[in-house]
Amino acid sequence: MKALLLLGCPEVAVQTGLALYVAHKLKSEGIKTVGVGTASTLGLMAVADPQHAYIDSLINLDRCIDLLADHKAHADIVFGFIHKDSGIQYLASVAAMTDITPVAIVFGRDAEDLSSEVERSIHCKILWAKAVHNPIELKKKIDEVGLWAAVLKK
Amino acid sequence: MGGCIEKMNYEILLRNVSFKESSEYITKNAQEIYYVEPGYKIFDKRLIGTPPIPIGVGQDYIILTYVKPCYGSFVLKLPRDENEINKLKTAQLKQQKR
Repeated sequence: MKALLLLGCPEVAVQTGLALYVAHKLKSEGIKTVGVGTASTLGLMAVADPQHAYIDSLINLDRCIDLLADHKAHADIVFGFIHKDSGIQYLASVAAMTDITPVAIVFGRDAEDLSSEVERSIHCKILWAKAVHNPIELKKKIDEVGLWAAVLKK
Repeated sequence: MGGCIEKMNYEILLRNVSFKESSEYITKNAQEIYYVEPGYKIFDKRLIGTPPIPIGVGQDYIILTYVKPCYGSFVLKLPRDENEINKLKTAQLKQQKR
């Protein structure tokens, strides 16, 4: 199984830590992880995980969209890390192109409003918290999900 | 004509807005509206957004939403291109004429 971690602009501190934590959980279940984002986002991931202990591979956002649109890549599950409207739009696009019910992890100061907009826009599982610097509340919500492989089968 | 958006003579009608705001602007202001799915390629660029994505067409223009990951949605006005409009007519989900 393969999971895409669709990362937003890296300006909100919790994103990189949360993404690596989700990747850790997925890898422990034997799910391959691919980080998707802009050059600066991927740079942060590459520096934080130089041995690919958590993220198996990284791919540029536009390149990933091209591959998915042309059906040259596939994923079994997609996680969208959202702290802006553009994050919703990218996750909605990937969901439409892959026909996958994704998981939205929503954070930042506008997390409540953004999670409502995600709910209106995308059929998906939503985990959200007004987290900017402290990822613990979202980590707990991620842990409460249990095994992602089980979520995939639903 | 046709080609990469960045190299074209475009005008920014709205900047740093939400996708919802940009879609509403296009549907209110364009003469004709075509709707496409995310990933649709126009002027060599994949469109991003919650489906269906509106594209506005007028006598001398095409207007569309360009989503930038860090900056939100931009409404761009580009010169009308018959090849792109013919592609749109084939690909559209629905068409609404004003």
